[in-house]
Amino acid sequence: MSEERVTLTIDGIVLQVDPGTNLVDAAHEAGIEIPIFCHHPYLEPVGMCRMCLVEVGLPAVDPATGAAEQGPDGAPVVRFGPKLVAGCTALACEGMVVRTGTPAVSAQRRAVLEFLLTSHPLDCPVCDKGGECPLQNLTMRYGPGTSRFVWAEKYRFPKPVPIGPLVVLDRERCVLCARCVRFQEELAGDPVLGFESRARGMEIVSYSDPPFRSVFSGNTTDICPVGALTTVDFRFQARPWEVVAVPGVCVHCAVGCNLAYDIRHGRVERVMPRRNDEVNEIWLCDKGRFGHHFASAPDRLRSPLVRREGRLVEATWDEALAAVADGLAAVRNAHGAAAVGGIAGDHLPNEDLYVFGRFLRAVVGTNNVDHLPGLCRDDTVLRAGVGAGTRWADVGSGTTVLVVGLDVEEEAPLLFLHLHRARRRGARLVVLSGRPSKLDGLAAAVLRYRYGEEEAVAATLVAAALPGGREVRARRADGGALSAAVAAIGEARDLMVLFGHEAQRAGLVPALAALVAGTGHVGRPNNGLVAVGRHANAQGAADMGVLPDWLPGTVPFTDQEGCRRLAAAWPGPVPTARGLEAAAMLAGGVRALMVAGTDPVGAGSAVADTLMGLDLLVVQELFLTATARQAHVVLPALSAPERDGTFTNCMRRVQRFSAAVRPDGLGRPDWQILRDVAVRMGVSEPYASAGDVLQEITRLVPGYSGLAPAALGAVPPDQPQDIVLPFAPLTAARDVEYLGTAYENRFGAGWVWPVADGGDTHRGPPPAPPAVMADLTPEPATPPADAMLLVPVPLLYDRGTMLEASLVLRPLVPRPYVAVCPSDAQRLGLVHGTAVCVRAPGGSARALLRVVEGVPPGCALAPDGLAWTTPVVTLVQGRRYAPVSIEAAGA
Amino acid sequence: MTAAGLRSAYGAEVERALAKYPPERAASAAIELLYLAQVAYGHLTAEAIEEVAEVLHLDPTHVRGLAGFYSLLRERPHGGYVIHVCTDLPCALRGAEELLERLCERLGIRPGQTTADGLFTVEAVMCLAACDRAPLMQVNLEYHYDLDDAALDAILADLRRAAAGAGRRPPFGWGPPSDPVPGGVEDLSA
Amino acid sequence: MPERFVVLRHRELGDLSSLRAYRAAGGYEQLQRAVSTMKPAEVTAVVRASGLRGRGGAGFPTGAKWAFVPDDAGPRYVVVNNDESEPGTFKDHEITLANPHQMLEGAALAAYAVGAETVYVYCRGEFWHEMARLQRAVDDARRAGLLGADLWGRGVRIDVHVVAGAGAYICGEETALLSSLEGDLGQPRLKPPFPTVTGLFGRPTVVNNVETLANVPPIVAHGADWYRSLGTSGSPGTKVFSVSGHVERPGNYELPLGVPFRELLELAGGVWRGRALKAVLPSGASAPAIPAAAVMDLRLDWESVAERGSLLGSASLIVLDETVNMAWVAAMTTRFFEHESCGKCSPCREGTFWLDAVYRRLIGGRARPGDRALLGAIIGQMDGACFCPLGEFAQCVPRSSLADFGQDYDALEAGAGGRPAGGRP
Repeated sequence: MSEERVTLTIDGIVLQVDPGTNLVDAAHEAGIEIPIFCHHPYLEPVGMCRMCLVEVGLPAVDPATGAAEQGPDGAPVVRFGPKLVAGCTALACEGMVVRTGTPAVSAQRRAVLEFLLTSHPLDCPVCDKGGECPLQNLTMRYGPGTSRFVWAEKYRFPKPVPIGPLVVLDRERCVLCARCVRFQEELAGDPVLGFESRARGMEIVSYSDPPFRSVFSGNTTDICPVGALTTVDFRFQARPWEVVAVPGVCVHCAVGCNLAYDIRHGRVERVMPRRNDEVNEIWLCDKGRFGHHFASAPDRLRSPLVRREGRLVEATWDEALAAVADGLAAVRNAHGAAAVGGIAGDHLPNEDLYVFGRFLRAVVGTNNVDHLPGLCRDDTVLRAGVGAGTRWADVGSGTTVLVVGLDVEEEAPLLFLHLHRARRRGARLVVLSGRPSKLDGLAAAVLRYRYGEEEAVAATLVAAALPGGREVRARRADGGALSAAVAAIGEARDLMVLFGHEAQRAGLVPALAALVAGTGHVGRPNNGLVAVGRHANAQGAADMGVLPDWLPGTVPFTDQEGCRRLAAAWPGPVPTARGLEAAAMLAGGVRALMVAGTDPVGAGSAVADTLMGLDLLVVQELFLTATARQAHVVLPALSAPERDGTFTNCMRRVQRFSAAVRPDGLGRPDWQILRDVAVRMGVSEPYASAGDVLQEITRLVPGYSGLAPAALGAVPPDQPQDIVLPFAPLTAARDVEYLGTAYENRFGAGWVWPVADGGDTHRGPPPAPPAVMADLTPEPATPPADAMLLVPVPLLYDRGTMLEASLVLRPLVPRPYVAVCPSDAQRLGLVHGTAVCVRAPGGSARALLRVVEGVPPGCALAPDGLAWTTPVVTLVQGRRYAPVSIEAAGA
Repeated sequence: MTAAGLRSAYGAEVERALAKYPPERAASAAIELLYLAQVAYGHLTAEAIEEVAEVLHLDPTHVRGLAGFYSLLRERPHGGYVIHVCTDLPCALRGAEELLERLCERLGIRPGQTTADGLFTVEAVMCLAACDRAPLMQVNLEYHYDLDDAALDAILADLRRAAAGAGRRPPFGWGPPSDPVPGGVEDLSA
Repeated sequence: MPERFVVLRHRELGDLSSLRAYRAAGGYEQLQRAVSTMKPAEVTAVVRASGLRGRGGAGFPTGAKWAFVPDDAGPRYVVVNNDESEPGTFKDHEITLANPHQMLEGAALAAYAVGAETVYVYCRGEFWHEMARLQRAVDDARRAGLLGADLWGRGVRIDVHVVAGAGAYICGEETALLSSLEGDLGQPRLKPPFPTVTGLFGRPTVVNNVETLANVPPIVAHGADWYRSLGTSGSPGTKVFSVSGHVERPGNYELPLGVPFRELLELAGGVWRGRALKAVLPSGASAPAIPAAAVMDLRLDWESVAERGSLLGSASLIVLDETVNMAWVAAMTTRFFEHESCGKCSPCREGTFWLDAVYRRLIGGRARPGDRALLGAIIGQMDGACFCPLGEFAQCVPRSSLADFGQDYDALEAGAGGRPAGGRP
C-alpha cells in the first residue's frame, strides 16, 4: 500500500486503518461495535438508518497558521462537532477521535430502535429470523423495553408476500434498510428489487418476470437484518439455536462454494454460506443454497442390486462385491485387461477419483480410464493455468478477463459475482461465445461466433492479439468488436482466460493457451487459464488422472519416471498400452465397464443398446439412473454430505468437506467400494478412511505434494484427520449484525496447487502460438436460408438427478424449449410461447419456442437436462450441434 | 414483446424528450415518458410501465418504483378531469377545507374518489405555489384561482359542457408537453 | 419602505413574458456583453462581490458556489430549481409567468460563468402549463440567436431544456433534484461530494433557485456596489417576500432585505378583518413560528431572523391571526412533511409518521395523557439525526408551538377542534 495508514482513536483505543476506511469498519477492526442496519461492508455505504451515529472530533487547526492547536499538556486539541455523525459515511482521518459510548450516542441508538420497533410486528415467536436476528440483538443491547406509541396506529401491510419463488417478504418487519435492493444492484447485477411509494408507505417490490428473478436471491435473506426476507426452504423448519453447522463444499458447479449444512436430528434443515474470501466470499447461488435435498431424497439407492433372471434385485454387499470381482476377473481372463474400462463422473471427490484410476490401472491392468463430461483432457491447465496467489480481490483496473464458450451465470454463478465486482473496480471483460449471456451487458467487447466457425474466430482473435497481429486485424470486417477485444487484451497488465465446455469441444483450448503464453500472461497470479467444468470436481478428475493417456498429476502415461514412482506404491505397474476414451468405451470398445457417478444413457448418449450387450456393467450411483437400470450390478454410493473428501475447484483450490449426515441405507463412499472390490480380487488396499487416500495423494500426485490436511485448514494437530469437526456454538461462529448469517470459516479456506513455473524440466516450454491464419474468410459463411442448427446449451436449473429432489427449485426449471432470434422466428413463421416440433438427425421432440434477442441467426439453442422426451444430446447424436427443422406443432 | 401504445401515440414526443439528455443517460427521460404513457394508456398500467422500461432499457422494477414515488404519476384509473384542491396550511387559512367540502358535496363523492360517470376525480393536495389566490384548485393541472361558490359552480358547469360537447370522454389527465399554448407562437419580427 | 423591483420588473414595466417586451426592457444585453467582452471568471467575480445569497431557502452565497466548480475538462451543468413547493411560497411561480426571460438570462449567465453548455430548468410537475410557456420562451430566445450554439459568434454554446418533476417536495433539495433529473427516485444523496464537484451525471453542477438567477442580469448590468446598496451588509439586495394567510392583500412583495416585518405587513394590507396578529411562520412550514410580540419589529434578513431563533429561508411569510390554534398549525405542517418525506432515513420516515399520528389524535379530540410529552420526545429523536434538512425542518413549527403556545394545546386536549372557523374570504 503506497498510501500511509491513518491513526485514529475510538473509545480510547488507538488504531491504524487504511485511508478511505469508514468509522464502522474501522471500529469493527478494533473489535468495537458501532451498531448498524443499512451498512454492510460489501456494499456502498448509504447512511440511511441513522443507527451508527457517533460523536466525532477532529484535531483543531489554527486557521491563521495552519498548525495544529495544542492544549496545555501538549496534546492536540480535539474539537467535537455539534451534531452526531453517521459512522458509515464518515471516513477515518488522521487524529480523529470517536466516542461511541456517550449518553448522546446511547440516546440516539435507543431512539432509532424505538422508531423501527414502532412499526415492527411482535412476530418473534413465529419469525424464522429469531435467534440470529440483528434487530433482536441490538434491541437487547441498546433499545427500549417498552413502547410509548399506540399499537393500533401502527402501519399495516398485507403479509406475508411471496416476493419471488424462493423468498418470502414480510413488509411489516422490513426496516427499509435497502440492503437487499443494493445487493441486487451492486453485487448481483440483477436490479430486480426496488422501492415503491414514499415515506412510511415504502415497500420492497419486484416486477421482474418471474418476480425476484435472480440466481442470487437467497443471499438477501442472509443480509436482511430482520425477518423481512426469509427463504421458502427454511420457513418454519427449525430454530437457529437447534441446529449444528457442519462445513461442506457445494457439489453443483466448479466454483466450489464453501457452505455449512445446518443439521438437526440428523437432517439437513438448510444450507448456509461459509465465508471464503477466495471462493464465494459470504454468498451462495440459489442452486447451491436450495439444491441440497438429494442427500435425503426418498429414491436414493439404499442397497446393492444384482441382476438375476433379467431383473435387478436387492443383494448384500458380499453378493454384490463378489459379482463384480468375479465378473471382472472373468472378462480379464477371457479377453485381456484391455477389455475392461471405467468411466467416472466429475462430481466425485478426489479420493474416489484417485482410487478409481488406481483400481483400473493397477488392479485390473488397463488404461481404459476416462471421466464425463471431460473438460480438461491434457496438461494445458498445468502449463498455462493461473498462478497460485491468484485473488479475485486483485482483479480490477488493469486486468482483462476473457470468457470463452462459457455462460458464467448458468454454469458457475458465483464467478459472475466476482466478474461483476471486478468490472466495477475497472476490470475489462471480453466475451467470446456463440450465444448471448448476462455477461454480454458488462463486456467491453462481445465476439459472437457462429457454430461451425468457432476455431476460425478464436484463431483470428488470438492472432490479432499476439505481437505482430496488426495485419490480421485490418482484414476482419466486423472490426469494431474485434478491435475492442484486442485492445483490452493488449492493454492488460493481467490477463485471465476462463473457458468452458463449449470452448473445449470446439477445440479452442490450444489457441487460448497460446494466447496467454504468447502474450506473457502465464506463471504469475491473476494470469493464465481457468478451466470451468460442469460440476464440483471437473478439475480434480483431470488432476487425479482419470484420463486414458494421463496419470495422476497430468503426467503422461508414457513418462518413465512417473510410472516407476506409481508402480512402487501401487499394487501393479501402469499398463503400457494406450487406453480408450469414454466415447470409444461406450461404443463397444470394452466388454466390461465400470461407471461411477455419471449417467451416459440419461444424458442422451445413444448407448443403451451397447451397454445391454456388455458382459459386465457395474454402476456406482446415488440414484437408479437410466444407466444403472442397464447394469448387472448396482452399488449404492454416498453423496458429499454423507462422507469426507476433497474437491478441486476451477481455480485449482483443493477444499475439504466433512460428513454432515449419517447415511440412510447401506451406501458406501466410492473409494471404499473400489477398495472392497479390490480386496475381493485379492489385492489389499491400505485405506481405512478418506484421509488415508488423501495422504497417498499428497505423496504420489505431482503438484499435490504441498497439500497436507493441515494446509487445507485449521485442523487441530491432535485430531485424527477425518473426524467431523462441528462448529463452535452458532453465535460465536458468525457476525450476524455486521456480515449477516453466513458462517465464519473455522474449517479451512483450501489450498491451491501451483502450476509449472518453467523450472519443472520434464514439462518443457509452454506451447507455441498457432500459425497466423493469413487466408481467413473475412465474413462468416452464411448458411442456406432454411437451415437451422440445434445447439445444446447448459442451464443452471435443470432436471438433473442431483436437483430432482429439490422441489422448491422446480418452478424455476423451464419446460423444454428452443430459443431462436426474432428474424429467424419471423422467417419460419413461429410465435413466441407456442409449441413446435424439432426434427433432428437423432430424432424429434416437442418443445416451446422462445424468441430471444441475441441468439445468433441460424441457431436454435436447446437447453439439455430438461424434461425432453428425446434428450437434446440424442437429437444431435452426441455432436456439438446438428442441422434441424423447426415447425409449429399441431394442437 | 411489449405493447407500443406510447410509441405509436407519441413517437415524436418520445424522441424530443430523449434528445434533451446525453444518449447514455436516457433514464433521465423517465418522468417525461411516464407522463406520456399515462395519457396514452389512461393511467400507468403494467403495460405502460413495461413499455417505458423497454424504451429506456431500464428494469421494470425501477420504473415502477418511480411511478410509486411521485404523486403526479397515477397507477390507478381516474376520471376525465382530475381536480386537485390544495388544503395545505396557507390555503386552509383562507377556507380551502370548506371549498373541498363544497366541491365534494356538489359531486357526491369524497376526496380520493371518482364520480360514477367517470368525469371527475377529486383529491386534496399539498401546496400549489399560489397561496395568494387561495382558495384554489387545479383541473388537469390547470390553475383556477380565487374560488368562491359561484366560481366553483361555473367551472364545473364549463367542464361538463366541454365533456358533453366533445361527444366522447374528455381528454384524460395530463396532455403531452407539446400541447399548443393559448395565443400561438410569438411573432418576433414586429 | 417602498418596493424595489429588481426581479419583479414587470410590476413597473408591464408584462415581460414575451421576448419582445423583455428585449425592449434591455433584456439579453447582459448576456451578450458577458459572452462578447467578459471572461467567465469576471462574471463569477461580480456575482460574488455582490453578496447575492441563494433565494431558495439555504441562503448560500451564490458567487462562492459558482467558484467551487473545478477547472477540469468535461461537461458541467447549470440546473434551475423551479420546484417551488414550500407552503406559502409562490414567488418563482410569478417570475415564471411574468418575467421568465430574466430568469433564463440569469441561468445563461451562470452557465457562461461556470463553463456549462447545458441548462436544465427543473419545474415542479404542477407547473404543467407554465412549462409550456417556458418552453416557448426558450424557443423564442433560441430563434433570436440569444440561446443555442455559437452565441454572438464567440463559439459559446448554451442550450436550455425545460424538464418536469412529478410531485415531490423533496426534489427541491438539490441532491434529490439531481437524483430525479437522472431518472432515479428523488431521494437526497450524501454530501460531500457536493454537486459543484460531483453533480448531475457525476459532473460539476450548479443548482440555483429561480429568484437567485433572476437577480443576476441586474447585478451584471449595474455592478456589485449597486446591489450592495440595497438590503443589509450580510443580506444584500432585494427579496421577493411571499405573504399569505390572514392578510388583506396576500401576494408577492419585493423589498430590500432588512425591511422590518411591520412594513411588509402594512404593504399586504395588515391582518385581515381587523383582527390581531398571533404569530408568523417566516419560512413556510420549515422554520420556527415567531409570536406577534417578537415579529413586528423584526428585520427580515438572514442574520436578524436567525438571531431571533428562526430562519428566513425562502421568506414565505404565513400570517396567523388571533383565531388560529397553533397546535392546529403544527398539525398542518406535520401533515405536509409526513406526505413529503422521501422515506430514506428512519428518523424522518418514522418521526413524521408518528408526529402526524399524534397530531391527528389531538385534532380529532382524542388526545391521550402524555401526548404532548410524546410529541416532544419524537421531536427530540429526530433532531440532529436525519439524513437531510427535511427531517430537521419538520420539527420546527411543532417545537416552537409547544414552547410558545402551550395554551393552544390545552384547548385541543380539552376537546376544542382547532380548525379555523369561517375561513373563506
